[in-house]
Amino acid sequence: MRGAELLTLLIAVSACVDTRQKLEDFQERYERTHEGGPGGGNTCQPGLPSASELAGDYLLAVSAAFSPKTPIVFVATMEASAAPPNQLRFSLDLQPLSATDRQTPVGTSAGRAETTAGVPFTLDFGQVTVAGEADPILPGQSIVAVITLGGELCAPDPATGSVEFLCGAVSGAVSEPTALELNGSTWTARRIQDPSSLPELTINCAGDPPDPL
Amino acid sequence: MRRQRAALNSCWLGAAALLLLATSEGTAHAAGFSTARFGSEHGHPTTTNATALYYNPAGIAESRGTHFYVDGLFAIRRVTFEHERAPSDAPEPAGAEGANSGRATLLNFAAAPMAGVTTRIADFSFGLGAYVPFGGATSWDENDDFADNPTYPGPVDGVQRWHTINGEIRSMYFTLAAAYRLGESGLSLGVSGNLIRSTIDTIRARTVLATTDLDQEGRSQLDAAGWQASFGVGAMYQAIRDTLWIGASYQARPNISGGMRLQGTLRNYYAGSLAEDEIDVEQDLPDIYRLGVRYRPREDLELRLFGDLTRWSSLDRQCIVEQGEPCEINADGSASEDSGVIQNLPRDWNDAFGVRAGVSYWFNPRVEGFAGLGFDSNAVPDETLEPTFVDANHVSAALGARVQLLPNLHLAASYLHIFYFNRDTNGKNTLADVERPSRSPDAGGEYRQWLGALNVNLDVAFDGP
Repeated sequence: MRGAELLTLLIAVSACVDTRQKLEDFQERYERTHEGGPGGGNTCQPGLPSASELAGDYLLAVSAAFSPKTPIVFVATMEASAAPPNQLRFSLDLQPLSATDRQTPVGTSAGRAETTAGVPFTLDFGQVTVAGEADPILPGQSIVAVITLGGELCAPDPATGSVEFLCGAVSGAVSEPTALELNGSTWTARRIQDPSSLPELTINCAGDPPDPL
Repeated sequence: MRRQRAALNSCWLGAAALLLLATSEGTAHAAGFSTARFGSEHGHPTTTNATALYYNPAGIAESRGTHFYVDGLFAIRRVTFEHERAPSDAPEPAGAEGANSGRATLLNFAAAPMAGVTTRIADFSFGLGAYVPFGGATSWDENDDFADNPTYPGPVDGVQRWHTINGEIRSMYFTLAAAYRLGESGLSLGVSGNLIRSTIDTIRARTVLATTDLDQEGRSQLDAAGWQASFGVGAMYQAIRDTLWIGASYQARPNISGGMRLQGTLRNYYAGSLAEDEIDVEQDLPDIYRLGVRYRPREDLELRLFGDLTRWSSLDRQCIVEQGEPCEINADGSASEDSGVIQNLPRDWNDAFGVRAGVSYWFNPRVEGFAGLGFDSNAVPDETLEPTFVDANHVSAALGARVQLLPNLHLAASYLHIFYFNRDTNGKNTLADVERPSRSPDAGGEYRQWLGALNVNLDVAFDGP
């Protein structure tokens, strides 16, 4: 109890205010009703593509667990090269898109990550900064976060000869505009065949759509 | 029929554990969350007891000797809130009907102490006191229909939870005052300095998008505190010796020109993860003008009339920002780019006034009976009224007695009842109509409230009555 209150030495009966207890009570109820957690597994045929089959531009959505249907959307540029034995060296560069149309690039690159991996991979972006125009939750507020994308590489689509879809789980945390954990968040990446017509956006490996604009 | 379970039993146990610690949960409201009812019908701008430290510091110049004064207000408060689904509310999922619409209730006990000491030396008087003129605590009943719900962990905290589950806001004043009686002129002047400790401790349901979506429901808990300073000035004029007094006073806002800033922590629990932010809360409290007249035409009869103007228009918002960052909000409720605003709670309150009339009759020199009637106007507009701060125009009535137990010892007790006018803000609330981070769920509904309070005070005098 704060020192100021000790100066008034009177017995008090109060409306029971214990906000920390109320918070803990909710946490317990939430954990009890959400055992199992969200699934982040891939739905494609896992496999190691070639560098040329993987490289290209993708429409990438990061869907935060606390607001899954309002994803942050990027054009993600994938560069890849062979890394024997049975691995690929690849990188992903994230260009944010406007939250109002999910099409217009805004700001500068949010960040770039590189890895050398087989089918399962982890891309650690470290700290990224996303322009405020791309923030779908607090418009105009830049987002600073530490994020890691985890998933599995997919075999190329026989019809197109290239990897068409990737997805997985996001881990990390947002520090600005407010502190928020990203555990349970998801990401998807769908190849952009025609830059003038972006592909359909999904928010998780199950293919759920986001809220419409 | 939905049943509501009050948490009174656990509250009584918790209160016992608070022995020797003051929680100062003022609930006997004037307008807004003003809780200055200490002194009962003897707390006013022409009083001479220690409550003058707040109501009019010039009043202590009219007392004699040294006085120790303690006052306790013990209140019971009942509020009901009935919310119909608004167009902006998320649909209630099948099986969760009543999660966000229906009736919420509270029945709270609370107490607020006041203590002061005054002394007079020749024509000078000095005083020291502690009290809570602004504050309130609420603890809403749970909704038993959702106890142990296997799917939705949130609705058990009640329909009102999107605005408040429980919480308190308080500004405790520590006052040092001095007054001077200008000889036989009948005029006394007083000034006081206040050191103020303000605290906020609240929790509510929230989603990141400020909707009422049960699937995204989380919790947002705020704990902040800070120190401020202010002053009071007053004058009292004895127009007719021992018969007619006129008093006027002014209490400045905390931090005088305004701009309270409390520091603390915001804890958000979303999607199974807890995150903490070090934050500041920006808000403003009002300044207050008071004027009163006391008329004692005979030894056994006294009439009182007094009023106040509380400038609650100072409370336009409560803004939660990253620590050290400014709160810059656009007209549509959005935050200026990179301003650091996390949550903004629009208030847009109005100035409010109060007027009270009282009478005292001495059955004999040692026993006084007193009564009073009052009216206080509402400070909270329909557009921003929500269950955290429930206000309405209200009428009050008080009845009590003051007894001289010993030559220098007076004990007073009275009962105060406040009758709040009902309010229906369905379709009028605008909290959901602004942009994030100022958006909150619609709080339109029917608000009903009453409050009863027992006031007891003891005045011990030394070297004079």
